[in-house]
Amino acid sequence: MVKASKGILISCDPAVKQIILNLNDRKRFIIQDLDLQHILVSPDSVQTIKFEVEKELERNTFQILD
Amino acid sequence: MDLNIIQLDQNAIQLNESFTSSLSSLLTGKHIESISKSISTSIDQLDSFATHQWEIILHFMVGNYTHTPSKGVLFLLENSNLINSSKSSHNITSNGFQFLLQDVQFQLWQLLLQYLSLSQIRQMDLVEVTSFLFILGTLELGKDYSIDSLTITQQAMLSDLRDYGLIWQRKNSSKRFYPTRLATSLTSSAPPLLPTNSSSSFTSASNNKRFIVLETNYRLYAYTSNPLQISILNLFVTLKARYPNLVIGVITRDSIRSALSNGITAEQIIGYLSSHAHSQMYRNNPLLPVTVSDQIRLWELEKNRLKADDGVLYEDFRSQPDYEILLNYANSYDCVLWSNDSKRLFFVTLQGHQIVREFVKRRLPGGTGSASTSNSNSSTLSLPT
Repeated sequence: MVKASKGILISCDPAVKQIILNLNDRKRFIIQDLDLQHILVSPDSVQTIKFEVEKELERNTFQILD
Repeated sequence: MDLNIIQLDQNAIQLNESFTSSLSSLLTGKHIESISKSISTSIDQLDSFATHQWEIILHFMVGNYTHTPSKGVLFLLENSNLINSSKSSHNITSNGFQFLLQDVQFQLWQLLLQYLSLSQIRQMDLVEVTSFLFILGTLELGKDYSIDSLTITQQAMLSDLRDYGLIWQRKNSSKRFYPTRLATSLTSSAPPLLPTNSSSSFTSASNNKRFIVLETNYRLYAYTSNPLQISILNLFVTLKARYPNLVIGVITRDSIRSALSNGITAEQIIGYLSSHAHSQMYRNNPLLPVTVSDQIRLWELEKNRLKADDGVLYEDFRSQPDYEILLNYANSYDCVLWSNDSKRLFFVTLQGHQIVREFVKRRLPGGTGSASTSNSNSSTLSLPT
């Protein structure tokens, strides 16, 4: 039986995908884990994911002080 | 010769005088005679007015708000997608940055074309607006023209054109207008603005265009005192110090990111830096330090590490042929964003979903399709609305 499910395809590099998987532990939004670089998530969660991923990446960047 | 149109004048061919005037009025639609025969206003005054008006617009775009242009100009800039306005602040867009890199003539036409496309919204007759712009191109600098010969629409245009610096009037209600160099050079290749003083943004000397020295340690030295250029730099450089003829700044992750978040692309920044690189920089090959240009590109990539696409995932195919038929069909419409053969999954865009769903309804349930296998007879479908 063919099934079609609506969602949002997130394409990213494996590192970002890991961050997203970790986020999913707090609040479930992943519909299906497709492969290393793709995940299907529920449509209403994209803004939160983008925001959280940005926050996480920002935490891991360091500025040169002068 | 027979029609008395051409007159031979020694070696030169001359068109008959009345024929010339009729021809030009045929081409331009209408010809406006100047009121006074002699040049009545100082050209310097017109030039400085035009330059001033134009600089206000450009300065405003780069976030220098000492003079705010009129509402009409703001409306035009917003609608041409050159700036992005929120309640309190205006941000330059990617288009706007590109716009600033062009020469004045290109900028002028881009604004006027936008003006034309907006004229219908503003209930102005496109034909009258266009013909007035062409007439402007044929007018003579420094002469005054009466507004009586203009239509009502064209008279309404005067105040807009005054804001752009194309024409000058002694008073807002004045019955005469003076075209500036911006207007008279519309259809010619002459420079639309002449440098009026040394700090003007339009000094065209080539050595003034090459003023940026960029070092591998991300430091940037700009030999300029031009406020417009400094404001442009300020969009993507953290400025540290300013001397009479030199500005020192650093390219940082934050400064580039703030430019990127306004929609300016890394390529545009690199393009700007290389087209304004100081002649000293030309001893280097490549022109810009690779570390810096690569880092700018990396910072841009970093911003787009995550891509989200709306669509529909197809799964649970009973057989490989079923999967392949549907995937090939979807592929032929170029709407497949991702597919995985071993898991028999594929993801199509929302538009693609409509097409594929129709196909599934037609082909798979009835099993009428000749290409589909026996397995597809039993295929049923559950689709979200």
